Amino acid sequence: MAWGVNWKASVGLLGVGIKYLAVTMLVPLVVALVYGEDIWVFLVSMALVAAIGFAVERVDPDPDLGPREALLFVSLAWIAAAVIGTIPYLLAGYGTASTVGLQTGSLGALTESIVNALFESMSGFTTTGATVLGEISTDRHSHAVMMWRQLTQWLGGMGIIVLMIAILPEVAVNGAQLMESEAPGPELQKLTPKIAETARALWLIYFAFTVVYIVLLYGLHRAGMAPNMDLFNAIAHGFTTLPTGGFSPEADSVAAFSAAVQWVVIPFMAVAGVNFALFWHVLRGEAEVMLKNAEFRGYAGAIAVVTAVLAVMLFRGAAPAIELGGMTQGVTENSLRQATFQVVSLLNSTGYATADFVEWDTDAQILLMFAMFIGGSAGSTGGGVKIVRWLIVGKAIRRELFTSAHPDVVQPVRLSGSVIDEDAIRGIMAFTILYLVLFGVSAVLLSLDTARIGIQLTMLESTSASLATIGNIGPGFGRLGPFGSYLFFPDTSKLLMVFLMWIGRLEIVPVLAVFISAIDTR
Amino acid sequence: MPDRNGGRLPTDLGVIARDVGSLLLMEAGLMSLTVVVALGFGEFHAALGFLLAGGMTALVGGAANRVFADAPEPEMKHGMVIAAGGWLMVACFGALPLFLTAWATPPAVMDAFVPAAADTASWEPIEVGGSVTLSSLAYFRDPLHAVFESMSGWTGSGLTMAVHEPSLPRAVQWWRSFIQWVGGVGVIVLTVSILSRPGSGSYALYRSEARERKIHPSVVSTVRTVWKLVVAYTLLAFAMLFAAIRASESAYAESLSVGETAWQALNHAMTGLTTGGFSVTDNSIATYGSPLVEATLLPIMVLGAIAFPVHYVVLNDRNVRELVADLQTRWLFVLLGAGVVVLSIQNVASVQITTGAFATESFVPRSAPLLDGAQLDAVRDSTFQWISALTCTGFQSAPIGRWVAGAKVLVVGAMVLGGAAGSTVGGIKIVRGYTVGRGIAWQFSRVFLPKNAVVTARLGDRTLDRETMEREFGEAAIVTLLWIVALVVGSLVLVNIAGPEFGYADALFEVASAQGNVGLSSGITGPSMSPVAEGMFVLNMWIGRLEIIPVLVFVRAGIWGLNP
Repeated sequence: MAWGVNWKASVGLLGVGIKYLAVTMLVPLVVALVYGEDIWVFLVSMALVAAIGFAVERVDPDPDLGPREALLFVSLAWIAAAVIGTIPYLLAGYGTASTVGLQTGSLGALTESIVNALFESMSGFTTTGATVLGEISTDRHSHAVMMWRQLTQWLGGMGIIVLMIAILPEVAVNGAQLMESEAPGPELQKLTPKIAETARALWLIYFAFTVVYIVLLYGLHRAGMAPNMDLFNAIAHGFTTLPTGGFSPEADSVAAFSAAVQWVVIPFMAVAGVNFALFWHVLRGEAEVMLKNAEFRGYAGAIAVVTAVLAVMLFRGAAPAIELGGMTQGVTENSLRQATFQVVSLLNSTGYATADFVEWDTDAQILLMFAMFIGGSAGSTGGGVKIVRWLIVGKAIRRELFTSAHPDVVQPVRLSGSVIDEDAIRGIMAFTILYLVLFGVSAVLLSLDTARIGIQLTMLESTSASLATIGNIGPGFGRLGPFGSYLFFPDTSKLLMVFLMWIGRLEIVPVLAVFISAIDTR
Repeated sequence: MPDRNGGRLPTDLGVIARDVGSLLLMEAGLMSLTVVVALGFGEFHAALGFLLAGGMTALVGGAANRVFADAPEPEMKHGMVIAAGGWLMVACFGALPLFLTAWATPPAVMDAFVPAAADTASWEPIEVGGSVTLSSLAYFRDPLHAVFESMSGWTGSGLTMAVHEPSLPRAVQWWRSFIQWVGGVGVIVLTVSILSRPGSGSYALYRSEARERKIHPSVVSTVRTVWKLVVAYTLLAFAMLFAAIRASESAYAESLSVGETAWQALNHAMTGLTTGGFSVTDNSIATYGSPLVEATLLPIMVLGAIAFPVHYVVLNDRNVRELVADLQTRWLFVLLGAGVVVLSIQNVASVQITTGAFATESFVPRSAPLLDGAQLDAVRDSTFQWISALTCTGFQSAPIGRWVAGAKVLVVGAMVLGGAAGSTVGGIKIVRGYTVGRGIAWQFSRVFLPKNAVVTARLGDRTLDRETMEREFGEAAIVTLLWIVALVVGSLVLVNIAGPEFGYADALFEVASAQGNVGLSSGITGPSMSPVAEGMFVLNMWIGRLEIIPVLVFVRAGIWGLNP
């Protein structure tokens, strides 16, 4: 085998996953029925996807995965999901002015529409939340398609591989290896002896939070405190909050809803950035595990500190009286709400917004950009570098300062009382540097590529585009703000960002490991 | 602060104060030498300034040296603190002669320093005690400007507050070049003997013997080896530059007298060889408008960017192959070549959309296939600026502030990486970049290996076992991370206070230039910049020169003491 990898096994297993993706399309199908919209879009999509699934499965009907095959499978699974996810967009928009619908007028229009659909789909599954839709509304795009867009984020949130392990016995055999490759964060905590049970526990917690959240949102509506949070909107936002997604069927994101709704969204966004394994401990009555967890404390502390600084800035007038977000200068409640919402949303990579923060002072925007670098917790649905990595990097630097003056002293790095393996520390260093380098190089490439077609990005725009996609965050600054769009980028830039979202979701390792092991034959 | 270290802190403090005191005494000696230069040129106010500064420096240094005379010999653990503290103190005291000379010289005398031939129409008059002068010396009446200039000199950076260098007294011109030259030797000593510890690339490359517990013998032996080389190279560079300037056909070069030519050649040889970058001409190297002078400076700057242990092997053992065998030197040449090509392509492509970004009228009237005159100029400036940036020299031949953002960012890349560890360059250094790259590739290829597999890696001609490789990677990764974080934070601060005419690319460029001890400027640095940014640059130059960790150790020792 030239690649040193039995790719057929990886691809064969993909077919199983694709088959089940067809089933999830029942959700938008039901939405289409309820709203009396065309049901053929999702009927045809389901048939197509199922057919693709069965065909791909034939490549290797009895896949046997080794470690390399597992990594390849994980890497491919997210691409496959994104590609499959484009089908409803392309079909639904066919012949309309939709920016993600299939356009067959010319070759340029054809490729652009396919790239747009792929961008939107990858942004969905990787829970990024960056959009290329020209106009976000259920009138332009049907309720069903908008619900599909939300659903992709919910499916991607806890991890499509984790979902497959939880429900498919043939995948569960190699579950531990697979989950390790996909799970956000440096290490996987096995909660139960059987990996499939761990996966099921995680998905159950995720599911339960989503249900409670939807009920609360809809409850507010019935209580008259949220006029436009109807059942559709409640479910749609339920699908994108817990996975730190950030898509909203409303053009104004969460700014479209009342203050009461925004206050309800905040804690659920915050929950999404916590390691879900900790909730499992809480459910078993071991709440102290959560409270003593260094990463949880770091996460809570980071949110509290950044929010406090931003709230003071807003209260003192960092935000002019803007249309979306309202007046914050001298208004305590609004300052606090806008600060908390934006910080939580950007810090853990959700990407909702209740204010057009690109209109804020540069200081406030730079503070938000700083928050975007932090990221959620390992084992959460959040993206970014992750709190635990920053904690360990910080501790390793402190150790270095000490050992450079006292080279003979051996001092381990500890986190939450346990010693961190030296190998893990170096792996985290490698990851962090690679992340920063990829982020920097991509920012340069994006600005060069857009200059090619005559658009000059500001440095804040190009860096935030790179950071928002590799960190799976979504909105950036300037024209890429929470109410802006990535539509104006050239196709090549969009493809680069699709790559960034993919590599960011998989945290680089599986992708590179597969490439390097294929090249490195020593 | 209560002494938590059982009475050991004062001992450490004594060791450090005594050695920093010795450094100050040496600096006082350099100042006395400059008094002679000032008297030789008949600059009596400057002589007074340098004499006073020398006296004060000698007083403080001598006192520290005397009071702690019986402190024990310094050990390796003191090395970093002495280096960081020493650099800071030397830079602060080095500002004194600039400051005192500026105050000792009356405005009328200052005006006499402005060259009669200079076109001063665009110069900004500076208010001094009720009258005005055109001499840039007046800027040093501000103590922050003086400290900035001194730090920029001692760290070999080359960013300057003296807008028009020819209007400075000769003694001050000399002092600026002299501190870059001596500071250059200091850096080589720093990397080869003090910072060289297991886990830093230069250790693995250039030292194999067991570590010495005492640092004095190692420092002394390094200085003995290095100074002869530096003097010899400087004389060579002086002769080359002198000949090149005399042979240049540009109007400026032809207007120079023999004495003036020798003076400029000497100063630029000193600052070019030690990759410092201060100049005595108004627009750095662009003043000459001479491709010949630029071409002559290229090998001088490259010499300064090659590790001195390599120079030693090449010259002492007559072993030219070492230039290729040494990992860093090999990569230096590769990067020089590749970067010139890439930057040239970017700049040639941007000739149409930029105005006044490159030298014009002065290029040899010769055409090349495929390129017109303007594009040739872009290639010429790209070549010089890339090499000036990668060797962290900072001689400027083109208004980089007018280049497109892509070209600026490329140059930032060169300034962040820098040349070879063990030379006078700044940046993270080639050996670290290489180690980090190898380490990352290794981390990923290791995914499929069993945990206890025997792995070795090659670093240059040395085969490193797993443990050494991991230690090298850990150190390099931490320095690189800290470097990038300081760069990002610094540029974000700067973009907010630099004013609306500068974009983020300019801010990034300027911070990379200061922290990489390069000295190229996109136009932000100058006497009118915000004091906050100026102070931050002093900090950037300091931490960049010491590769960050010693400064952090210094701060840590200042708060908690040196012991566990």
